Amino acid sequence: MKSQRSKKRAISLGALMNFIVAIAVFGVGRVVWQGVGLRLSATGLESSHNLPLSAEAVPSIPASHTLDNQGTWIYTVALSPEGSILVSGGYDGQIKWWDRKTGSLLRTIQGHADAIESLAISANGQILVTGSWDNRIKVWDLKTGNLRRTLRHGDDVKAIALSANGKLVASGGTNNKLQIWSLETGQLLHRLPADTWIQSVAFHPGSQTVAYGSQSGQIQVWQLSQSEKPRLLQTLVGHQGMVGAVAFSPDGQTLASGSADKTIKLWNVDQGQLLKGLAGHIAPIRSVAFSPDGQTLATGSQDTNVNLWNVQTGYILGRLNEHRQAVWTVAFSPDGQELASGSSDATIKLAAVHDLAREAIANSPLAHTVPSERESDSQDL
Amino acid sequence: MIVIDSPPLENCLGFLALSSYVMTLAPSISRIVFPKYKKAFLPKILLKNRRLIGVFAFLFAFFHGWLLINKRHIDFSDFRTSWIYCQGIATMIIFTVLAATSNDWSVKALKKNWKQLHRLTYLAMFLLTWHVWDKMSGHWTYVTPISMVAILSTTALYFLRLWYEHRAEN
Repeated sequence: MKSQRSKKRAISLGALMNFIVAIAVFGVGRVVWQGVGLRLSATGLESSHNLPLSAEAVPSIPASHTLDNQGTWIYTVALSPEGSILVSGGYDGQIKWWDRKTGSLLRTIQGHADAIESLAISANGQILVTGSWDNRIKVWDLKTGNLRRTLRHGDDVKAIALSANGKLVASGGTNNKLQIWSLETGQLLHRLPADTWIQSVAFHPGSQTVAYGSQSGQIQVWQLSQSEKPRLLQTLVGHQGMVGAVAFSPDGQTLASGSADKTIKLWNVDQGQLLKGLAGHIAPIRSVAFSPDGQTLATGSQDTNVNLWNVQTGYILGRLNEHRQAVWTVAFSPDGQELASGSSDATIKLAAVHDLAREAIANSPLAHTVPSERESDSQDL
Repeated sequence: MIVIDSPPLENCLGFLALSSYVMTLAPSISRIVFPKYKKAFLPKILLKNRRLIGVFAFLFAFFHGWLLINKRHIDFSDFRTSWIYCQGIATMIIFTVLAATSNDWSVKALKKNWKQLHRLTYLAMFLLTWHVWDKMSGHWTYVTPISMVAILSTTALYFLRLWYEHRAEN
C-alpha cells in the first residue's frame, strides 16, 4: 500500500518536473527563435511586407571609414567637442580613443571589468564618463586617459549623461533609480525612483532638466535644482515597449525617444505632448541623436540599419545599411558633417551626412511643402 | 583595493543554481571520499532527493539566464553570443537534459543509457567553474567567493574520488 502510494507520488512528481522543464525549454526556444526571426527579417530573407519603406526607395548612405574593434561588440561612441577624437566602449570593458580623420586607434584602456554600455564627453572636452555592467561609473581625463574618480552605482549602469555645464552626471541602470552625481566631488546628490530599469538618459542642453526612458516604455522628465528637491515635470506615455534611447534637440524644445516598439517619437518637452511618431525600422530602436543644427535625427536599430530623418517633416533622408548586426549607438560630429555608428558587428562606421543634412533643410515645410513619393513614412499625430 | 558588491537577483539565482548542483554531487562524492559518513543524515537526505534538487538547479539556472538575457539584451542571432556565453549555454543544455530525464519513466526507457547520460553532470562542474570565473572576474559580489570555493572544493573532491576508485580497482 505504502509502496503504491510512493510510486504514484513519484509518477506525479515526474510529470510535474517534465511539465516545468517543457515550459522552460519553450521559453528558451522562444528567445532564440525571436533572435533568429529578427535576423532573417533584417537580412531580407523573410518577406519584406512589414517594411514601411522599401530599401530601394531610401537613398543609402555609404560609410567613408570603418573602424575595426577586433571582434568586440560596440555599445557606445561619443565624439570630442572639437571633433578630432572618437571614443568607444564595448563588451570587453575597454575604452578606445580613435582618430576621427584617419580612423587609427590612438589609445586603449581596460577601463572596466565588464561591458561599457554608455559613455559621455563633457562640453569642454576635458572629461570622459563611462558606465559599465561592473556597477561602476568612471570619470576620466579625456586628454591623458587618467582615471579621476570611480563612483559605485549598485547594479548595471545602462545609461550616462552629462549636464551642459559639466557639473552633473546622471546615471541609470537596473537598480531602478536615476542617480544624479556631482562631477566635481563625486557626491551622490539625488536618487530618483523609476518604475523599472532605466535604459536611457539625456540632459537638456540649456537647463538642469533630465529625462530618462525606462524598460516599461515610460519617459520621465525631472527638473533638478541645487536648493530644492528634484521635481517631476512630465511623464510621457506612448511607447509600447522599452525606451532604449532618448535625446534632446539642441534647442531643448523637442525630445526624441526610440523604443523596442520599433518607433521613434518626438515630444514637446514643455507641454509633454507627442508631436510625431516615426516608423521606419523593423526592430527595436537602440539609439537616437540629433544633428547639431537640430534638423536631422539619426536612429540606430537592431534591424542593423541607421536611418536619417528630417525632423520637420518626419521623412527618411537616407539609410546606412552597411552594418551586419544591431546598431547600438549613433553620434553626430560636432560640425554635423559626419555620423558615427557602432554595432555588434564590432565596427564603427563613419559616414558623411552633410549633403543629406542640407536636404533636410531644403525639405523642411517652410522651404518645400510637397513631399516626394518615397517620403511617406511618418505618422503625424 | 578590492571592492565587493551586493549580488543582484540574477546572481543570487545563479548562486542558488550552483548550490543545488553541488548538493546533487555531494552524496555520490562523499560516499567514496568520506565512507564513514555514508549513513549520516545529510548525505542520506540529499541522495533521496537528488533528482528533485537537480530540477531545482535547472529552474534556478533557467531564471538566472532568462533575467540576464533580458537585462543585457543578449542577441542569440549573433554567432559571437554563443561563443561568449558558451559555458553558460552548455551548462544550461546539460541541466535541461538532466532535468527532463530525472523521472522514473526516463530511467526505464533509457535503461543503461540513463546512467551514461547523467554522467554529463560531471562535465557541468568544469563548465561552471569556468563560467563563474569568466563572468565575475574583476567585479565579485558577496556570493562569488562562496561559489568559487564550493565548486572548486567539489571538483577537488571529485578528483579525489576518482583517485580512490582507481586505487580500489587496482
